[in-house]
Amino acid sequence: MNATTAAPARPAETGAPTAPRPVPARPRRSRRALAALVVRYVLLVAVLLVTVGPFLWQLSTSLKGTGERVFGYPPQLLPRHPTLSHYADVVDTIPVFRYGLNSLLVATGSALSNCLLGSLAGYALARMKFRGRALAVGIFLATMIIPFESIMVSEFLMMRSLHLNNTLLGVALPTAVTGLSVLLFRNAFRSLPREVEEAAVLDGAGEWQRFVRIALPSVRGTVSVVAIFSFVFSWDDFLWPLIVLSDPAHCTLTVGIQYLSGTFTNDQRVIAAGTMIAVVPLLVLFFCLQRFFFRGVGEGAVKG
Amino acid sequence: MTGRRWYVPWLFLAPALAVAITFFIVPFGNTAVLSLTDASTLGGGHFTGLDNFRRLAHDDQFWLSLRNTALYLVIVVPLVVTLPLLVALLVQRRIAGIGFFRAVYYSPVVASMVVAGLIWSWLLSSDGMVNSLLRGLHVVTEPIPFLTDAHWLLAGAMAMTVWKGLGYYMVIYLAALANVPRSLLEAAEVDGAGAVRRFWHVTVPLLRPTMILVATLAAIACAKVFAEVYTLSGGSAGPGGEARTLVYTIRETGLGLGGEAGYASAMSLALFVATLGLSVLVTRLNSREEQA
Amino acid sequence: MPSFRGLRLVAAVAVVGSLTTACGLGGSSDETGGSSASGKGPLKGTVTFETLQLKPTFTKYVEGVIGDFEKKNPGVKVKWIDIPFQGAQEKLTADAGAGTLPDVVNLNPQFAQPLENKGLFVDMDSAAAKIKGDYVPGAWKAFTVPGRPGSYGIPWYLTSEVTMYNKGLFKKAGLDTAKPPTTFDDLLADGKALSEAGKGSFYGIHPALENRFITDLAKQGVPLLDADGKKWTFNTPEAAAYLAKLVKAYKGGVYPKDSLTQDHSKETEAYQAGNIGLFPSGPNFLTIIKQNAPKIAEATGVGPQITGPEGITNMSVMGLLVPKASKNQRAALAFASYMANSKNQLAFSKIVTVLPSVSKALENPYFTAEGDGSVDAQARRISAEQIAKAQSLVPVQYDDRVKQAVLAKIQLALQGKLGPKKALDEAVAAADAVTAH
Repeated sequence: MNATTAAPARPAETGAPTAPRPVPARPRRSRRALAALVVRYVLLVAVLLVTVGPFLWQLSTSLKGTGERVFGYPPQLLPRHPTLSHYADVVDTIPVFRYGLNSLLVATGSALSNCLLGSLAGYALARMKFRGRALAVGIFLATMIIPFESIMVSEFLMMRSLHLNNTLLGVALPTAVTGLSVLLFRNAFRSLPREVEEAAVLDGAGEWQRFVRIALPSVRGTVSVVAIFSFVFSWDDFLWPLIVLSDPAHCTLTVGIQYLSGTFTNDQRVIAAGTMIAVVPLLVLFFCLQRFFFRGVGEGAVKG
Repeated sequence: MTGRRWYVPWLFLAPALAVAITFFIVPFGNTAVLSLTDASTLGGGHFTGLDNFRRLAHDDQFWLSLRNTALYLVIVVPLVVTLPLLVALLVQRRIAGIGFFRAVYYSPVVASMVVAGLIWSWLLSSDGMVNSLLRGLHVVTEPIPFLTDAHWLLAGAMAMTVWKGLGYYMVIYLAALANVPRSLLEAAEVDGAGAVRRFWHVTVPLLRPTMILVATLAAIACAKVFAEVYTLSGGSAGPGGEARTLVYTIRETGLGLGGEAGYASAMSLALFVATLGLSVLVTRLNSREEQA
Repeated sequence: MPSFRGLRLVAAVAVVGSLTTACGLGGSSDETGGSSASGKGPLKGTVTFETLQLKPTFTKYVEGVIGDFEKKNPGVKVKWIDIPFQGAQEKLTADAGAGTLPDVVNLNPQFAQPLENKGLFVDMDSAAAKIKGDYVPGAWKAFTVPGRPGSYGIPWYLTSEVTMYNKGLFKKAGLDTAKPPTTFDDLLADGKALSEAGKGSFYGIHPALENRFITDLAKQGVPLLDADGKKWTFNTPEAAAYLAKLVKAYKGGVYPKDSLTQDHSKETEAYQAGNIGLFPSGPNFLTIIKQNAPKIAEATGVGPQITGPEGITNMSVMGLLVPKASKNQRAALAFASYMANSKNQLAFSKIVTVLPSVSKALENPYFTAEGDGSVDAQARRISAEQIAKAQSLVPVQYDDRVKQAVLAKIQLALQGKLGPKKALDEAVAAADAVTAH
């Protein structure tokens, strides 16, 4: 595997990423290109069919009229008497907006702190040589490996001794920066061509300047990936918020929608409506952020 | 790069390390202590030395869990390293409606495990879609017992893990693909390299660090797999609990009121050491190869 | 600094059992410190009250009772926390470990037992001796721990299984729609007839081992546990004979193919989908069926609980418990007994098909009359009648872990991988191992 060892050095040969690159010529609309496009769409739809199931089932169930069957195989996908009333039921039953706001606070805070602290740590691990680096990597790796079940109770005790139980801060703090975020940033910074920064060193820029002005903007793709991963993780987390919080007013949405199915009630349509309310914001967020996944070294720097 | 003061890296690392140590390493130290006791989840317990580990060595359920988890790892990791990459390549080009496709591909990641479990139970049930298809094509005559045979159940759970991972790892690959300079690909094209060759000789080598990252993440996720097996088997890990994974057994033993926290901690520790060893090995092998 | 905190924490966890009483109760501050149950004077302070998933259906009811109580005791403020079933065990574990259990907590005996065993709860035999006589004896007894004096909870509400069945499917199978099965043999026979008529489109019954297996053994007079509560004893020839019948039923296609490991929620789904004809379960499930499958609800009839030759019936009990660590025990006790008094329980039973645990409330004509002739009224009457001779048959030691260990063997028996007798022997051994640790 000669190419393997040679490859990481290559981007440098092509010049600094800030250099304007030629706008690719519009592909000739040949028959081959068209055929390739058709094949691409066929494949896209095929994967779509594989992945769309849960969303479709939830959507259709949440819209089904009260008289329609929910269970049974084959599933009945199209609601015969579509209605939005179950969404109204959800809003009547639980304070969706307050819970949603709590979730939003926790998830946004988590996304911000993961991007900030994760990129700092990732940069140091990728770009600086120092004694103890392997140990630091090991610690972050370890946090990902530890099964949460085994530290849950001690973690709760700790939150209590910090007087953070029953607060949103207590919910967010343990995942303020995850090993995953650090490793994703480390991976991204490692693939940046060194020459860019070395130019900056000559300019007399300090470590911090280089990080903020050059390195961080070059990994915007990873920033958005870490943002979405941490946002989604916090938003979806169930067990930890449930344990930390005891005041219903502080409930997050994922915990809150559990109240849609009770010991003596279990209307799948309302539960599906509640799940939709919890999931749709995530998909919208993803839809908005997905274009940024590409703004890495290449395009982002050019198109800004 | 010389002349940097020794503490600069640690300043960058300090906040993240503080969080990791306070909320993971310290509580896990606690778990290590518990593994030497016979404590229950409600506390109490006495120091019992290495008794828990001795018991572990002779615990059939533990070894069965370990075997199943290893099987999971060996089969799922390669799939999770490759399939999401292919999906990422598929959605990489900016063509009409691509944002929609990407979002839908991501949707299984955020779907609740309950809903995903429901759908997969339908797919895999005796008269479900997969069996109907296989029988229609005369591949099998009797339905495959995906839900009532431990091995088939594991296979179903693995499929579910890969399926849930498609969108997740696709995102990581998309970010990495953005770092593949287009000029390199174009240069290769000018040289007359076809799409497949360009992929093998330009894209794959550049993606190598990311593939290793994904492999590490997938291995850790597989080592901790629980929810898929749990939901598909109605909480039982299959008839006789024969499809149990390590975390399934840890939860069964140590969670809940009156669970054996001490013994479960010993299992957690074993899982931790094994996974960390594996990850370090992967990283070491990789860095050695890079230097070679 | 981290290592210092680490040491402290390690120490804290290792001795958590002894710490719990020393730990304060977050949220419930009590200025007077009236921690003994026998104080005098007006009640004061805050009482936190935790229930298991009663929101949203009973929000109004519970808040109403709390409002009345606060009016009667102006010094007391009740703070209600409702936790979902999912994750309840973990939350309780964490709270018990940290000493943050609420002042009044709603638990069933299986949940409560490990905590009772730690001596975490107030003994109601003495603390609530005055009201003990008001309650159905079988229900009160549910909160005792074998081999330990005292009883640790006030029974709150009860349910007693009935047999729901789909009359439409009964007709298709040529069964009498007015005659649901009442014995185990009838149940299996009707199940077989239904499955044969269904030819794969519907089945007779769901084994629902998770929910019924051990109860069904008890109903047939099989002794489950020895007197000390340490050794399991259900590997009797009678039990083996019954298991052999289940094995035959499974082989004969009485149960849906994939149902072997499925739990009660899957059974409920299957009944709602019209996939099974018989559904022995709590009458409260009638409401859920109505919500999800109105057509099936219309076709549903109700019969009495399936019983063995001696006619023993089972009941499930929910109770209210007060942790010893509560800083406001007196108010907590007052509130718990108020919540579970005759009047409030009767009102509760009128919103959902549960039964009150107070004998006087059970005598109310509401439970004995035919009512409006609806299925609900019928279910209510049947289950109220049963309560008189019902017991909480499943010992509290049959917790989730014992259940898993036992069912694993029973599932293998149904698959034919273990003989019935051998499966039961192994199940008993596995259960003993869990109970011993």
